[in-house]
Amino acid sequence: MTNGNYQDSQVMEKDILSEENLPQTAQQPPQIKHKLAIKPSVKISLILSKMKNFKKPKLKTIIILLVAIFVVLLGLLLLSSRQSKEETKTRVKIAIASPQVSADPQFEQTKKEVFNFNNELDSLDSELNNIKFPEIDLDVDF
Amino acid sequence: MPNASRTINSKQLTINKKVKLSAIIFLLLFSLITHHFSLTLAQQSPLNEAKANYTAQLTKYNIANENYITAKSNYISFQTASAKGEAFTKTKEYLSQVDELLLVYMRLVEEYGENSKWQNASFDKSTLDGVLDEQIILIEDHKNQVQQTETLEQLPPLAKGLKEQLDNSTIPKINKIIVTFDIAQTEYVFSRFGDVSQSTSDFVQTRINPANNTLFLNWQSEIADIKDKTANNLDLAKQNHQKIKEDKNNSFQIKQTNQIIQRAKDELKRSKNLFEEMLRVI
Repeated sequence: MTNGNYQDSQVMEKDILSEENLPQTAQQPPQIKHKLAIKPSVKISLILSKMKNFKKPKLKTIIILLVAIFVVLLGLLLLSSRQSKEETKTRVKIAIASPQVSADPQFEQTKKEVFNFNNELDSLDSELNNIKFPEIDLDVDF
Repeated sequence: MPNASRTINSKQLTINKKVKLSAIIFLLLFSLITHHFSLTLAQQSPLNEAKANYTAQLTKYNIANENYITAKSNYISFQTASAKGEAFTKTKEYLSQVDELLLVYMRLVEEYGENSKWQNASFDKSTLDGVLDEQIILIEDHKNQVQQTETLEQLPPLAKGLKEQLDNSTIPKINKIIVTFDIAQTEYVFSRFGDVSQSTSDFVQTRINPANNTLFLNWQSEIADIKDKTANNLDLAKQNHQKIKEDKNNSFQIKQTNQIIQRAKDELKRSKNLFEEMLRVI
């Protein structure tokens, strides 16, 4: 045996020994990865197994439809609640912006009259000019 | 093993029952919600309903017009009995839709009248309603005559008669009625302008600072200017209105009157910013 071969075998032995003597914590990461890889597949397999109980396709479609309707309703409710929250926010802002007005009923009354009048002014832009007499072709001749 | 299969089957049955029950409940809820929305949408005002009816009838009229034109060209091209029969059917249907369109339009004009404010109007609404009712009766009479026709030759004279009636009576009267509505509405808003400017002026006088007195005086002069100009334009519009003919084409007079009414409206609209400005200052 040559010296080089002896030195190589010694290095190899050291590597083997060091691997054997590694603490357990160092060995865990690959196991953790393995566990993470398992969990989604476990969940999917559970769902699939549950779905398999519903042998009839009609039931499956009904369930899917119901879930979809429920989700849509929830979404609409959330949207409407958000809109109402936004509206309440704007109302609160107006109240804060003019605190003195609330203490003066005469001012409020005058302001209301002006507001109503402005609406009536806007009503002047009515569609009366747009309800023109329809154009009718009465040249009926054969 | 058989016991296990029995338990599985019973579990499946309970699951199926629950699924069915929940499905029924959700469907009921969904149908209630959609029904509620449809009801709320359906509750529209008579004016909006009249507008919708008019739009729908216009569509029907256009379809009937196309069918009539097609049937007419076929008859003129082929001159067969069946082509003539088809031309008669389509022309009769077309004239029926014309009558229906006119009736729906007049009901729309009626609803605009109902929607206008007559408290300060210089006109009697009942007189206008009478004119509209008279025209509706004439159109309904024409519609009955069309329904009673049996040959193609009977239709052109009916169409010609309707055309003359529209040109010499219905159109001039309806156009004048619409202008009357417009003047009445403007008169009402003008009277409201008077009320609001007076109440605002009274309120401001009690709160104005000496520093803002000049502003207030200028505001008052501006309001007075608007009042004078609006009143002058309204008087001119009413004078023009009296000259509008009801037995012949009056489109030029209608246009003139509308221009004067628009001037009155524009003057009134100047007050919008003035009122808000004065309330901001106070």
